[in-house]
Amino acid sequence: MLDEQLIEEYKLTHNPEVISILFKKYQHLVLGVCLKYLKNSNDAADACMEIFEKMHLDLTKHQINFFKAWLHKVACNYCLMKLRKVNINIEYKENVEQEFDNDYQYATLQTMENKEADYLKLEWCIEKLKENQKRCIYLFYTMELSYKEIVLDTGWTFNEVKTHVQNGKLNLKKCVQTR
Amino acid sequence: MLQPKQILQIKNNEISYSLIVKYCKGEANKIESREIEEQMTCDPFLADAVEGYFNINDWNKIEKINTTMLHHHANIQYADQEQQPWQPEDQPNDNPKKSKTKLWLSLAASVLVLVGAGFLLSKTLFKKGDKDNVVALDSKVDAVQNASTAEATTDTKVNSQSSTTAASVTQSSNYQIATTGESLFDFDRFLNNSKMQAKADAGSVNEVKADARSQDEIVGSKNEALAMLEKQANENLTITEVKTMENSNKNAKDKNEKKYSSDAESLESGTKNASTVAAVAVPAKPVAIKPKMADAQVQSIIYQANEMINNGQTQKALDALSKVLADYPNHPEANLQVLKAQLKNANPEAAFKAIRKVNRSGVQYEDLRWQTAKLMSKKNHPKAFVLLGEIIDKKSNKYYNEAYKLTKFHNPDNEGDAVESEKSTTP
Repeated sequence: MLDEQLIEEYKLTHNPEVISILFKKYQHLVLGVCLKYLKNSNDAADACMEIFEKMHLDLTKHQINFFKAWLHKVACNYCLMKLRKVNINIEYKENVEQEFDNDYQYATLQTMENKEADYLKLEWCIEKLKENQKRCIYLFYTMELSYKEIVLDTGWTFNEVKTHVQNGKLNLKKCVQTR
Repeated sequence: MLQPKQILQIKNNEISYSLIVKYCKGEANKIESREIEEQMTCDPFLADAVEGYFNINDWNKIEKINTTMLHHHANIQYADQEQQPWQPEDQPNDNPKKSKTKLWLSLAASVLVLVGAGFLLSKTLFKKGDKDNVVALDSKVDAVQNASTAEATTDTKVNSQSSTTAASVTQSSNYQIATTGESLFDFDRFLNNSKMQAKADAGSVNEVKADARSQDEIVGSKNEALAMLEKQANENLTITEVKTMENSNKNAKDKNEKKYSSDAESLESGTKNASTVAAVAVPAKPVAIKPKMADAQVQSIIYQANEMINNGQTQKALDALSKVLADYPNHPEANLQVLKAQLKNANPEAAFKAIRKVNRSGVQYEDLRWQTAKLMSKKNHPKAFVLLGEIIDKKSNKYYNEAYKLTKFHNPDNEGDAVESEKSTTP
C-alpha cells in the first residue's frame, strides 16, 4: 500500500497501526536526518520520537501529496527549530537552502518522469552546469564511480560530492524542462 | 557517453536500515553502494540520512537506540490515540483502555444517580411518614368501648413514653381522645377549616372536639391546608392557630411542628381556654419527656395504697396513687383504689370522678357504684341521681330497690310511683 493510501486510511479510521507502519518504514531515515543536524545520537533519537508522536496530529491537519518529501521536510524543520533554540542556526544555513532545493526536486522529479523525449537536450544542459557539478555528474554517471572514488579522485569531501551530484542532477532536469 | 535516461531516471527503491549501516561502515559491495548512491541522487531524504549516519562513531549505541525506539513506539501507540480530541464517536473504538475508562465512568455515574434518587426518596418518605403515623410503633392506642361520643379519626402520635386512648364509637363529628403523657396530634386535615376544641371534663377525659363537616369538606380542607402550610413554610410564616381547651404545652409550640401536642398534666388539671399552636413545614422533633413508671412499681404502689386505705391512711394512699395516675390517668386499679379512698374520705365529687374512670375500663363494680351513689345522695350531690339512674336502669341490679328509694328521696314528685313500684316488686 502506498504511503498516501495509508494516510487516507488513517484520516478515516485513525488506526494507530498506520502510524506504526510509517514509523517502521521511515524511522531510520528520520533518525539519520536528525543525526545529520543534531550531531548527537540521544538528541536525534528524542527528536525522531517526537516527530512521530506528533505525526498523528499533522496527518489529519495537512493535505499530504508526497509523504516521503513531507516527512523529510518535517524532520529537517524540527531539527532546525531545535537548533534555533540554542542559537546555532547560522551554521546550518546552507542546509536550510538545500532543504528547499530538495522540496523542489521532488516536485520536478515527479513531473519529468515520462518526458524521455526531452532527454536529448541533456547534453547541451550538462555543458551549462557549474564545473564541480559537471565533473561530479560525469564521474558518477559516465565513469560510474562511487562517491568514495569521486572523493578520492577530486579531493572533495563526501558531502561535497554528494551535494554536487544532487544539485547537478536537479539543475539538469530544470534545464531540460525549460528548453 | 552520458545516458540521459539513466541520469533523469527516478529510482524509488527502498533502502533498508541494514544496507545504510553497511554502506556507512564501508562494508557494502560495489553493487550495493551503487544502488544506495543512485537512490541518493533521487532521494534527498536518503541522502540526508546517510550523511547523518556518516557522523556516527559508536554504531552499537545507534543499534540500541533503534531497538529502544521501536519498542517505545509500540508502547505509546495507544497513548497517542487517546490524545486525539477530534476522534469521531461513531468510529469503532479499538482502544481497550478507553473502553474500560468509559465503563468505569458510566458505572460511577449510575451509582451517583442511584444514591441521589435514594436520598430524595428517603427524604420524601420520611416527610410523608412523619405526617401520617410515624411514631405509632411506640404508641399504644386503645379504644375505649364505653366512651360516650368519640371518634378518633385524627392521626394521633405519641411519644414512646406516652399512650393515647382513642375512642371510636359514633360517626359524629365529636372527637374524644384520652391521653397519657405527651402526645402529638396530627390535625392538619382540620387546619384552617375546622375549629378544634379540646375540653377536659371533670373525669380527666380530654375531649377534643372538632366541628368537622362532611368528609368531602375535610378532604378539601386538608389539601387547602397543606398548600397553605407549604406556602407558609416557604415564607417562614408557619403558625396556624387553632383554639383548644387544653393547656398550651411549650413543646407543642415547636415551630417545626404541624401537629398538636398536649401535655398530660395540663390535661389532668383541666385548665381551660388555652391555645395550642400548630406549625408546619419541618418534621417534628421528638418531645423530650420523663420516663414513665414501671409496671412493677405501679403494682407495688397500688398494693401499698390498698393497705393504707384498709388502715385508714387514705390521704397517704391518695398521694401515692396520684403518682401513678400522673403517668397512667386511666389506670383502672389505681382509680379503683382512689375510689375506695374517696369513699372512705366521704368525698362525693372525687368519688364520682373515680367511679367514672373505673367504669370506663370496662369493669362494672356494682357495690362501689352503689356506695358512691349512696354517698353522693347522702351529701346531696347534684349528680347523685345520675348514678342512681344507672343502677335502677337494670332491675337485675341487687341495689335496685335501695337505689329506687333514694331516687324517690331525691325526686319527691315520684314518691307515689316509687311506693307502688316497691309494692309491686315486693312479693
